[in-house]
Amino acid sequence: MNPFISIMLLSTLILSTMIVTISSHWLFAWIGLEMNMMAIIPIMMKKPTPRATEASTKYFLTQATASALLMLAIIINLMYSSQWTIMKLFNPTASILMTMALAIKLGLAPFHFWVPEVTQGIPLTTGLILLTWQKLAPISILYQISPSINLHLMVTMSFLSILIGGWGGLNQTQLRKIMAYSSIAHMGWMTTILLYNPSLTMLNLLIYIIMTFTMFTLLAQNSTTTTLLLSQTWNTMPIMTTFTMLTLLSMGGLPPLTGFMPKWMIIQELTKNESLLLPTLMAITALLNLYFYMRLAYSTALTLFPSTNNMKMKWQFYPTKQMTLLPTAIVLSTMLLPLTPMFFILL
Amino acid sequence: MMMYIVFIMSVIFVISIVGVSSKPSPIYGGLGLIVSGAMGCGIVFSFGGSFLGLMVFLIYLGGMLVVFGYTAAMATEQYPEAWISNKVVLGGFLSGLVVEFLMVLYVLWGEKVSFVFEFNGLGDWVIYDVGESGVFSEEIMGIAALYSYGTWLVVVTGWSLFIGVVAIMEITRGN
Repeated sequence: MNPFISIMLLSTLILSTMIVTISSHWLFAWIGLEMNMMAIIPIMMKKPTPRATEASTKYFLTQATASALLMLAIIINLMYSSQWTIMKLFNPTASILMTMALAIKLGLAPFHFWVPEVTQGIPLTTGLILLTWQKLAPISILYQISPSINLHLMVTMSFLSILIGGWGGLNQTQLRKIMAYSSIAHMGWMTTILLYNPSLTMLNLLIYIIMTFTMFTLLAQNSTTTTLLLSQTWNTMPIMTTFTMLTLLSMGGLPPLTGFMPKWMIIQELTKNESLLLPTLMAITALLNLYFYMRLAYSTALTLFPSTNNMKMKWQFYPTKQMTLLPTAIVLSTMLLPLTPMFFILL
Repeated sequence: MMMYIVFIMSVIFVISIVGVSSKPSPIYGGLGLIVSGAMGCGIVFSFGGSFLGLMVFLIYLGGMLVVFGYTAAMATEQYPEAWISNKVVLGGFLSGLVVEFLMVLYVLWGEKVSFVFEFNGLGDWVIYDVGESGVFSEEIMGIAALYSYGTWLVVVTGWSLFIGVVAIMEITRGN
């Protein structure tokens, strides 16, 4: 893409999320979300293959529907409160509609069907933007309306997301689809705690973004998009196998790695609010997630996958791709657990 | 009959939008958009927003839809699909018409027509459109405020329209 156009689209992407997060008028938040959608569609179609076109079309249709539902909820809120300030909503209908609109934008179950298909059709770095940056704007709105969200709806959607994110990822070998299902499950964890302690949603979002960024950057070094290609990294970049394994285990939520921190805090907060069955079920279904991460770590770092002999003797070139922030990200996504009290600043 | 003009306009509005969304060829869709735009303007007129209604007529119908009509005419096919030429389109149109007809019956027989044109001060609903100044028209003052206090909104709206055009050109570039 023309670099001028690329700069304009990326800066619009950043500007739109900033508009959504800092605005106090509902119309502005809606405009920010629309700009977000419009700016990322050409980024997703950088290589205009039919696969990318299909992914962009699916993304556009789902996000446009969600924006229309959001506008309807905003207007109903306006009707019952006669003001446009972004705060808790004043009508249960508006609240339910807005929650569902934002769930469509985030990819929560039962509106999760677009996430694997869109993530699969776009390049790896665009998938990174889709699964990390695009989550910031809807979650900031959810944070601001959290006092008025219906508890039953939210907990149902988030538990279904954890379940579907875990179960759906089990049969995948394409890494982008695995990351998509991992995103669905993490969104489920994030939105479970939204009604009890929204700061933990922010904590989970932060840790999730760091871990997903690490994972995608590791995958982008070798342009690995399938498990088979991942199993050949021992030959070209042996150190990446260790990092991939550690990051995957961190995403699965194992102590003493960083990924344990949000899960621990969320379960603690839920039990403080005297809901015991929900965190138990969430912790159990998170094991499904851990299983397919373990399977990837197994095939990457712990065993040598069967391959032909000439695959075992690849030339080790100097890496030509920019490893932007990769060492920092790896350290952050594996070693942050002892610094848990530091996140007191999020309150 | 004149009392119900807003209601009649809203019914024609919905019928023409159903005609657009039952997916005929873009030429016929453009016709549906023209009628729905005109009816929407009429509804805005009836609530006192004369300037904004005329703006929509001028810019939307007279600018954007004209350009759309010309480009659709350039890209049209030999036998464009009308509303009656295909069972799918006809079925979609008819089901939309049936639902709208049922809603019209409900509104007329359930004595709820007053809801359509008496939003102001109905029950304990708060007034949301024109205020009660009586000295100036809030609508035109609002448009003036858009360009003085609301400069940031103009910048954001202009930038998003520009990005819309850039995005469309990038997507349809193809290589």
